[in-house]
Amino acid sequence: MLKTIKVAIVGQPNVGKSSLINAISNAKLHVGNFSGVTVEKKEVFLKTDLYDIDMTDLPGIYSLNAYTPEEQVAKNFLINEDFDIILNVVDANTLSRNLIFSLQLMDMHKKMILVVNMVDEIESKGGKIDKDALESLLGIPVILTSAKEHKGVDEISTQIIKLKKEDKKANKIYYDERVEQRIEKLAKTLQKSPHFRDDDYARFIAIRLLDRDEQVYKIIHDLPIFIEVHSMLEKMYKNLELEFDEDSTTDILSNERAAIAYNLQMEALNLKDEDEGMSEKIDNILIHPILGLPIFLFFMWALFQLTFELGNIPMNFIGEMFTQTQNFLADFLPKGMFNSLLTDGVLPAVGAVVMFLPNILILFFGLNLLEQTGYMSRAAYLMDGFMKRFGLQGKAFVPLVSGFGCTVPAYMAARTLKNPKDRIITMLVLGFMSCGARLPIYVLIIAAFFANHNPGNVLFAIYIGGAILGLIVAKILRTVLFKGEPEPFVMEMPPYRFPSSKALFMDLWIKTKMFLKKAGTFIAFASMIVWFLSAYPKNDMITQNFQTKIEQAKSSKAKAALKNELNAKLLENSYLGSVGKFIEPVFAPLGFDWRMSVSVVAGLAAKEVVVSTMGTLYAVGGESGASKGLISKIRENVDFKAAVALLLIIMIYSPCLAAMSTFYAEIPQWAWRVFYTIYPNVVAWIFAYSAYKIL
Amino acid sequence: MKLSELEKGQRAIVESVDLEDDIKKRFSSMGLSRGIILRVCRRTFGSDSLHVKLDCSSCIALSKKEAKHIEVTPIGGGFGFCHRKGGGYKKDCCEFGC
Repeated sequence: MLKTIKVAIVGQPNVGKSSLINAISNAKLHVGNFSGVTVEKKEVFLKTDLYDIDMTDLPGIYSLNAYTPEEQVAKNFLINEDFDIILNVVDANTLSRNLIFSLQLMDMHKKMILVVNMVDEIESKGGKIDKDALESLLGIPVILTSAKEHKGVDEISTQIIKLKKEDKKANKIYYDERVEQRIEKLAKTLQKSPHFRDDDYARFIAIRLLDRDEQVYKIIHDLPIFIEVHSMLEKMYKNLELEFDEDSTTDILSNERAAIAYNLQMEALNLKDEDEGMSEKIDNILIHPILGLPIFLFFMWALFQLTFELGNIPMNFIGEMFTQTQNFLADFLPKGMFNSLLTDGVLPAVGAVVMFLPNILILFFGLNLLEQTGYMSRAAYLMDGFMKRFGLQGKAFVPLVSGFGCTVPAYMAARTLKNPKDRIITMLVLGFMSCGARLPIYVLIIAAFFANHNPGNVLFAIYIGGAILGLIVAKILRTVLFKGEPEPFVMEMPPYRFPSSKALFMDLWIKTKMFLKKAGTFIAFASMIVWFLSAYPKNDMITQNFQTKIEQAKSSKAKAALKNELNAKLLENSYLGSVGKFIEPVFAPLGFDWRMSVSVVAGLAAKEVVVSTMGTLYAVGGESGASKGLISKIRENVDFKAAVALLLIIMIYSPCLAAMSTFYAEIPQWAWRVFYTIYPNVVAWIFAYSAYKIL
Repeated sequence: MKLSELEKGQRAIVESVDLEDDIKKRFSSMGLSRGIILRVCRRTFGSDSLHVKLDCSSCIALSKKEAKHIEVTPIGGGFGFCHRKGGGYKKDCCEFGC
């Protein structure tokens, strides 16, 4: 058995941690969740001759004074989990700020490696980082890396193994003499308790207590030494604050660390005067006080245009491919139940969904690009004032826009909001940001009913309409249910960086794989159920009835018409028909027939199922299979008013099961879960009904 | 003078951050704390939010509401003066471009 070295990868946001991990050669990446929470947990496994290295990538965290729920996850891991080495990744461009956090980590007095990333950016400016100086000052190994140029990345594993063997811990950080005295005294007292026998741990806890770390305070709160520590702490707070003339001991410690970090940077970073950077020039245009917002809207508009126009090109081809396969298999396979299941049930349904893969990929690619270049945080800055008017703050804008891609990660992204009220409002309205999976339905309806308008514009209007509705609902929620101010807005604006094409491509590839897998499994399975429910029970009475009529019919045209009528009758008398009839009263005021009603309800499982169900239900009555035929089928069977009502329902009603369960996992209060489950559907119905009546 | 009143492009040193403990810690971990030098790069339309460049390195965005509680003293432009804890100011440690 090989020994395992456990490594925690820690760093502030925007230091390029994930691209660094992607760059490590021969590593196996595993993506999961931190236990109990929906924060993504990336683990990297590396096999070497002597050791297995197991690295856990923690969410970006600015300091041990964790602020957002997401940072809390990283902090909990650092404090509670067992690991051998801290791999601290810092950005060479913002060295001193990053080092402040590194100093906090060094207080833990664990084995630690400092990875200074993005040195290429410093070097391209003619600067240099003095690795030896950092190493000797901090007493820990330092690696200079550039994930982009693949420099130094493979040194990481060698260094980890070397450090594991060595018995050398990081240097102690010595604070001001007056602070040190208190730390020592406090640590001695803590050591009276069996929990803090270890010297290093006692010192770390003492520093955290002086830093007014509430979480650590809670740890000692339940211990017998609490009373002694508490009274000692109160005295220390008071005296230190007086001695240093500061409001809080936290300030004293942060000033100390800032000064040390600053001096470290002075010693280690050799950088000539910075001229006006590229980012500055781009910002002058992109976040211009007046032009900024229109530019943002233009980007979004262009994205939806591309999504529709570019995505349409391969669409016919894919649709045609599925129809061909379907026809081929229908003739090739022996007639019977299996043939029908495959060619009437699964293939049209899966085909109807896969057709939209290009559209979805374009949308994801665009959103990804906006996020990774650093533009999204600019957009948040631009929108902050606007969002405040709706009771939200600029940072909430990021999860809202990523909701256009997929609601599930967007719910998770809401973890970057600290204030619970802000978070819950954001999550409650996130469903109004139409996700990528709703796109196929929109494209289908637009192609069927709005073909002579510019389809990209209609699509843009739908998405913007959803967003505006979301903001209005947010305002209502803020005034009625969640009174109070949104949390203060402060956000880092990283320099513009163009993500590597490899990373972008990998992302798209993963999306494609996941989408096809979903279409091949979940959607195929759902369509099998839909097919079964629509094909059974067999009603021989009706069939025989029509069979004689068909034989008697004279023209082939009349025969075809009768055949269609037969199929429609059969469908109506199937299990699915009964279900449809049962729920029809709910949807009848919106002008939906039972097939639409069933499709909409099925969409609660996953939005793709709406189209695939329509594909099955409307295809059974016709000759041509799914895909292109579906558009004309829908045009024939659905009137314009009902189509608009359908669009509104899809826009507003509950997101898919996966998204709903994410919401439940994130929000523990039952009252909000129930509210969340009901209210979008009520709103959706009211909107759809009004539209149907008014039009 | 408050950060919210600082002219665009004017360099200033932060004297105090008069905000609640939580948000104050947040600002300091993002690099905005007493003694650092900053410059306002731009404001949004209606001055709701500020884009601020901090000490030689990172940029942050914050809203006017918080900026009203950050006390700053403008310092001479042109030269790169950076504050050094305990050692007064040091000339030419870096220049920022806004």
